[in-house]
Amino acid sequence: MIGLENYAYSNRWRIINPCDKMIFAFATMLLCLFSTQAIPSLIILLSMVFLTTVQAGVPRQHYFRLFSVPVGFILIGAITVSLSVTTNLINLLWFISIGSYYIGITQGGLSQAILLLARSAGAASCLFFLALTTPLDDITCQLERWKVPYLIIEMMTLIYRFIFVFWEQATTIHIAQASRLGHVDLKTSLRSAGYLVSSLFINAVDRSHSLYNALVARGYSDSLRVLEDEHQPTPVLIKVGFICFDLFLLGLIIFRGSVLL
Amino acid sequence: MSQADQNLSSSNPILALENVSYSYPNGVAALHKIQMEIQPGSKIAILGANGAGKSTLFLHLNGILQPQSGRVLLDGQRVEYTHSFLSVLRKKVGIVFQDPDSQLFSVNVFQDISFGPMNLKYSPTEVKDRVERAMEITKICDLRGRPTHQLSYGQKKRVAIAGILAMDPEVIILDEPTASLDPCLVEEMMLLFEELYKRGKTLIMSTHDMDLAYSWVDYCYVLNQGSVAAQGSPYDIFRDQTLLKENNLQIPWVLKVFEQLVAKGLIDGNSRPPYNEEQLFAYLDNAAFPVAKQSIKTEVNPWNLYRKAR
Repeated sequence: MIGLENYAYSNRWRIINPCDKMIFAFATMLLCLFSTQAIPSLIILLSMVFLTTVQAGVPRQHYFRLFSVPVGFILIGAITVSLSVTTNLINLLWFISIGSYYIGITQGGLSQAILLLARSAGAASCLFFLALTTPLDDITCQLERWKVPYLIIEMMTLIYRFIFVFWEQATTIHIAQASRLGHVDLKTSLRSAGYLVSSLFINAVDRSHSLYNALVARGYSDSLRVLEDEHQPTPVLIKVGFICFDLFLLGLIIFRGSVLL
Repeated sequence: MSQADQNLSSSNPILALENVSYSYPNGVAALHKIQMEIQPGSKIAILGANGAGKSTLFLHLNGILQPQSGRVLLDGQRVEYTHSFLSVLRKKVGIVFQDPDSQLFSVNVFQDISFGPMNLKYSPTEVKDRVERAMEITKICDLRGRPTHQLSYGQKKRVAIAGILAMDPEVIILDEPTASLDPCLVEEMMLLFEELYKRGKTLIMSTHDMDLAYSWVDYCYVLNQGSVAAQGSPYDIFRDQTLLKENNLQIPWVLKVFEQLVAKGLIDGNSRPPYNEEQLFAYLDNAAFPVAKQSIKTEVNPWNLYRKAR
């Protein structure tokens, strides 16, 4: 698809215990979201990018292309936050005037926007770290150990699996349509897309029937229990590194907050 | 006495259908008064055109569909559609579906194979053992850590088979197991099935590959529009020209060649028809080819013509 899932299986940090990776990613993300200054978030962003691209070995070019997707949304949000509409010119660093109103950027709005930008990008980088280094089956396996309800885990498993089945199907249908000139102009393209979606839906219903039959044939009664893989414990050095990094951030947020920015 | 004859003479079928009829909720009649007996340790082919009711039949053998009339017997005992009886039935009878994508639900190969044995409530170590063994038999140990969506079609097929083998069923139903596989993979697949057969499994497969059905199985059932149109040893089925024509089946090439050779008087018409390539070729070694063979060779050989011209 977009290669995201391939890196999850082939990166160097796959062997690291998923439990530790998940706790690290979530804890760091929480710290990032709770921090009231931009500096800790920026530290998180840089460290997570470093861990994912340099340590885990996800190609930098591909990483940044993936990362540009959330950053695009975050930038739009940050720009909107930084702008304010007033009638007086005090505190405006930059403005344009429309009638008697001024649309501009205040000092407060700017720092708020920077904080938002840093926090969101930092949190996104934590998620990317987890998604690019840990395959979904490792995550569901861990969630099961944490006693997350089976229903949620099963839904995750099935949805993830069938994304690929339907993606393949959609690609096949699209190619078949294109080969019969189904996408020559906008109008036919729209119509073909409609056909694609409807046939995909019918296909989904059909597949759910045959999947159910196949599961029942293997003795499915109420839950999709499978044997979980065993994972190696994380090397002590990395574990200690995780803990120290988060403690350092916690300290930074609590004690140095007022001094920085 | 062939394998098929031996099986027929023993009288304790592992699975039997008695007058089974079934029509789908939309009114399409799928099965009509099916009579069938499956002997333990046999290789059985279910032949018939698309839509003849093969897949519906298979869903009955595993208790997923319940016959509207007639009954299914497991080891002579009537199948009851209760939770406990169905677990016994599904432990003994496993189905490998045609499309592996509709069978593999997990992202992880190992986990998917473990699903069946987990449902049979084995201990984790036992499950692990069974998964390992199933992966060894199907030769997919190297796929262990791979996500299912990255596998090729043939690999997915093997994983699907392993998922059934891990439950250690006595009867394995294979719904068109060789469809859309390349010839090389078909051969590998057949070696795998032969191995399972040698381990004492009962194999039931539906197929459109007449050569394969003819040379491999002990017994054939021909389905036509939901009824059993014919049954018998592959030899009986495939020599009956009218039967083949009525059910849109083709004559296997081995038989076709054999009959041509008999018609031309090269092979004695009373000799037993060959079941496979090797047997046919053995006949050819002793065939009474006319001497013309040699003279044709010398006449047409371009080198000889060239020499003559000079």
